[in-house]
Amino acid sequence: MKKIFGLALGIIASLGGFVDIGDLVFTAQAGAKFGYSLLWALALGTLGIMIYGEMSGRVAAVAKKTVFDIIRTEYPPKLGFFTMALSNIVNVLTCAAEIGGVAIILHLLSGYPYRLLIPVAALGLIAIIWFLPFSKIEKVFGYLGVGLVVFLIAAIKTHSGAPHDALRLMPHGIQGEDILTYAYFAVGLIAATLMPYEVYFYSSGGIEEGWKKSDVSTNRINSILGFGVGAFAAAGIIAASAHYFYKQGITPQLLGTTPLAAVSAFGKIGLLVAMLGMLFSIGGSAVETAFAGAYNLSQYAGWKWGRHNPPRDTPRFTWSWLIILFAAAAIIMTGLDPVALTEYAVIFSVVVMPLTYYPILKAARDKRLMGEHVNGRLANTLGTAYFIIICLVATAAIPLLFLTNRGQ
Amino acid sequence: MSSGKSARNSLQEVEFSWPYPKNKEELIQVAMVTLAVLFLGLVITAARFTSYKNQTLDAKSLKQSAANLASFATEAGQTVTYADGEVTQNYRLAHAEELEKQVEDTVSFVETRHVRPNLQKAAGQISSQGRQLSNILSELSEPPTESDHTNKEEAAKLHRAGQSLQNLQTSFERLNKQLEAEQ
Repeated sequence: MKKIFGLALGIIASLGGFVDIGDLVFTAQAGAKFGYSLLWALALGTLGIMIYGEMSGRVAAVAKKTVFDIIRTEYPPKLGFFTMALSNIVNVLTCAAEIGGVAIILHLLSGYPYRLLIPVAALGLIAIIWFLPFSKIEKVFGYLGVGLVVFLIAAIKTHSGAPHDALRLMPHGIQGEDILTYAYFAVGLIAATLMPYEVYFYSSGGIEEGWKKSDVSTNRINSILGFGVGAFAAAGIIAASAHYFYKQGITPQLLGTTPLAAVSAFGKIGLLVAMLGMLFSIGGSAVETAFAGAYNLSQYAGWKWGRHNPPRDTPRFTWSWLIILFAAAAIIMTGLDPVALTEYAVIFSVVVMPLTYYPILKAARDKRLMGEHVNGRLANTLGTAYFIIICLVATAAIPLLFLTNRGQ
Repeated sequence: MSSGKSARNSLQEVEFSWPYPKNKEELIQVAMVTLAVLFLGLVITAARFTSYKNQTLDAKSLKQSAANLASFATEAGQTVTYADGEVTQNYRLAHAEELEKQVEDTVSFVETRHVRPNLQKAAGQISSQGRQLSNILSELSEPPTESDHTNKEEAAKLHRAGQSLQNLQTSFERLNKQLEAEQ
């Protein structure tokens, strides 16, 4: 019973960070513009992150190797460096957007100036990371981020009043330039769900928590149900947005617009629960991106790393996540729009996706490395199929970004 | 001399223990490639910015601006509708402030670019109605004074704003349809 309870808590904890500012932006806009007809893209991306998350966790548990441990040994030095540099540029940009997102929500909650709240958000995140042990950090953001489920409940409550067109599961009557916009949002949703920092954090988190071979089945359940719960929350935003914004003719271009979908169903309580859910989910993602950047750098460079170690034992790792958080706060202080920045970060992350996911697949199917826990036929087939999808998404993302002027 | 050289070598090993760049030459390679990428990025950004600044607005761009403004007016209208206890005051004020910035951006986008002669009137309408919307949002983002709070003035202000937003939304939607026909 205790084990089941622990597992359930672990699954809830994995919600924090799964729905980040990129998911919030793309899901709310996708629902407002195209109703339910982009739910398939979320489902496709979620299955992909479940498959690759499970593989990266299994490799960490069995072979004690993280994504960048594999990259360091398997890639030619120049390609390995390029992957590390590019992934960390995306991590810093994503972290900047997440800190901006936290500041926006704090601004909406408190009314204090947004610019003042950026350093407050960054320092608050640093304090949480500094004072809490690794296992607690994930739980704090996961449990408090559960408020996002209010969108799913709001969607269920408002389903009967939703416009018929918004409820179509397949695109209908989309023509001309709208086809490109539809494709942009499909690619954006898949990319936002498969953001590489999630597997950097997940596999390194496995090492932090000391996973062993006996944890392989827990990893499988965690990755499938944990990412699944996150996807349900994201689907709830698409559905609530389709019911409310689609009908009103509102295209959410601000992070603060998204909670209005919960207000229509639950009033002030809905607004507050939605904003708190968003605050902790985005905050969790900010921590994950900062850690992901520090993990990548430390693992690539061969430095001692891990939040489970005291900071004095891992000075370079500690400085790395601190510098990433400060750099991210400085970037967003320049006045860049976090929503625009997150869209660019999500789309540019697709370039680094094939370079991130390929070594995971290679390691998970390596019999010498994985022994009896090597990929089965199903995992190999799905992994390969998803790798092809990731390459296609990577090819299409940047042209679509410019052709559609960010889906406008 | 040789001990100095070996000390430097061991320092290099410590400093460059990662797979790449391992030595000064490789570090220079990385720096050169980084500079080249940054330069290319800067050139592309500058070119895109110039073409963005000098673009002549057609019916499609104006339609997009009108659609955005209609969406902002609707959103602001919804927030006003919910003002009576459904949303917190902080949210309403802060969100109106954010919306005002977006409206200002959209209006200045239209005002600072060339417009095709047959679309001058539509651009003028977008600009003037956009300014009206911006003014309403500016008023909505002001915290109520003590007297506002205690009497019915605040409610009346919100009611007036709600009606004006409704009119502007209708007007932007009409303009949007006209521009769609022009396309």
